[in-house]
Amino acid sequence: MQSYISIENLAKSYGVVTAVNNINLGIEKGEFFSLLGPSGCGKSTLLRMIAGFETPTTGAIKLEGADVTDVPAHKRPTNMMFQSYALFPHLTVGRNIAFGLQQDGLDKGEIKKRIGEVAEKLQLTALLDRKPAQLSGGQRQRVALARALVKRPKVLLLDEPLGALDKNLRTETQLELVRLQRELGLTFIIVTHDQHEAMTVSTRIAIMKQGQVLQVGTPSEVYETPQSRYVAKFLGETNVFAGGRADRSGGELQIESDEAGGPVRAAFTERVPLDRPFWVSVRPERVELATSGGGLEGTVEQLSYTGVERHYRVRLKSGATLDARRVNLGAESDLAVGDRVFASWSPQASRLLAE
Amino acid sequence: MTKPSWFNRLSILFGLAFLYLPIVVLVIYSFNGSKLVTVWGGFSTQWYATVLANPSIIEGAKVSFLVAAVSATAATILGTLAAVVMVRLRRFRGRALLNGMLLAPMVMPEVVMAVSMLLMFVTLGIDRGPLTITLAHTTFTLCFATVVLQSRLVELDPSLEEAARDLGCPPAKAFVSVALPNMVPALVSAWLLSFTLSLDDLVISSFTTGPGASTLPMKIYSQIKFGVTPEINAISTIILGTVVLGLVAAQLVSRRAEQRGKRRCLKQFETGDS
Repeated sequence: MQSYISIENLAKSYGVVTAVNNINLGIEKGEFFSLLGPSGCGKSTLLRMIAGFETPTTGAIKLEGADVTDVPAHKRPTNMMFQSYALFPHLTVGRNIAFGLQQDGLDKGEIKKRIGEVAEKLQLTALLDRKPAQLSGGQRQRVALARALVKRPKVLLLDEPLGALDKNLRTETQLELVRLQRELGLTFIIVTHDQHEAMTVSTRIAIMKQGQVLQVGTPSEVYETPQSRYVAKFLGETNVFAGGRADRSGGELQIESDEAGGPVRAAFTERVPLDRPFWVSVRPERVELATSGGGLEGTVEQLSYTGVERHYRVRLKSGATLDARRVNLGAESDLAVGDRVFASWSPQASRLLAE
Repeated sequence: MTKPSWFNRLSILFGLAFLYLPIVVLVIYSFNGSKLVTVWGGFSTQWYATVLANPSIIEGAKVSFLVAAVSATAATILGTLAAVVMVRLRRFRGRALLNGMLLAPMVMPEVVMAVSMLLMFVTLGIDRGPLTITLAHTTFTLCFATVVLQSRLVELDPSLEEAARDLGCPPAKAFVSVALPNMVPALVSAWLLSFTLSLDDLVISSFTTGPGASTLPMKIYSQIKFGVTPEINAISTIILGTVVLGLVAAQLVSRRAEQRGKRRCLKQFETGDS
């Protein structure tokens, strides 16, 4: 089935440098899709190719089945919100928002009506006569959003849209973006390096590294079942141990791991071949620490308190470290630095990872 | 800040005197009532009246201002195009060479430029006159205009034009409607700089002119052959005044733009990030 936006064998290289390397992606109508990765992974280049600012070296971009690869930026039904906001400093907020509508040759009455609508939606009505220089960071961000949305694009592209906002305002704005996107029923594609942001806003996330897409899935899919060490480590914190010999009994595996210093149990999966190098990972919040019983033995090396939770770093007998977290439920910690502990977790909490 | 020592004060004084004493003397003697240049005969503005009544001087001034205005306009337009190429196209074959070639006229001996332009006009069979002076002045002021415009364009966020294109504006129109309005102070100072440079040029004008077209500096130079008259002092003071006005205006325009930028930051700071 043809996706709303389909990206086919897309590649972009600058001389010898490959920014985007043979990407295939399908994005559906009404999705809030994230391109997530560290800086230099090609996510911005990919977004700029969708916007029409960069010409792909090879491959095609299709929108509703129509090939738009060679359509210049000013003729594409996409609009972009820039990282720097790129508000026109010489125009008022109202005329910034009107700019795109004027290019379409809409009549004055229609322009005014649509500016009024979008301004109300984004609480900009009182600011229409101001110049961008007279606005706060948060207000500018809303103007940039209004200017892109007022054109009613088929796809809204957001390039690190919240990078310049402080943390509290960011969280607020993320929720605001999700609300807007649901209300308008538009397709949003956002580029971000902040995994927390991607998880909060997206319907699906594509995790990118060195110009390639490593994994695509819903936030819980990519967090709960990462398919590679890179994805597991990039999304949140995790403990990773190299796996050795594995014995299967029923649906369960018993894995010898020199790194962990003992056997680790995991649920069997056919996804990861065990005859090649593989790793076992477990999220810190799934690890249980006890002063007695079975599991991996170690000592508490560090304890930190963040309010929401306590974070323990355990030095295992093998020499490796293991992180564990416990949600703060009001009780004092029964563990202190230097205590001998046993770490264990359910086989379902273990994830097998390929390279 | 440390207090300047007597040595500092003295060196400033000497430096300024070295630079400006001749000019001060010139301005003072332009108001000399005596016919003899070196003898003070009381305050008078008679030489200014003589200058304004001299048709040859007025004719020269007209040529000078026309040449300066036209060549400054041409240099600003060409300089904008050159700056766009240099700033927006970061990588292309021969970029370093082009950059060097754009700036070379700044340090090239004026006589060399003047001779080469004369040769070119003769070879091409172009009749020498106000047109050839204007062309030559455009050439030599172009590099100064380019430098001023280039430094402004570097600061200008390239995503402004991208945003305009994204909103449905074709590339050329995006430059005109978004980048140019934000370059106005730089355009004005590039124009004023080119204008003043053209106004006081003697060497290039002399080489590229033809019969009947003399700029003001050329008129002055030819009069000096018959001795320095108080009239010359008066014309020179007028030219000096015009040039100073032009430079001060250019300075003011760019400073105002700077302060507007500062106020912007201040305002942001006051309103806070909410």
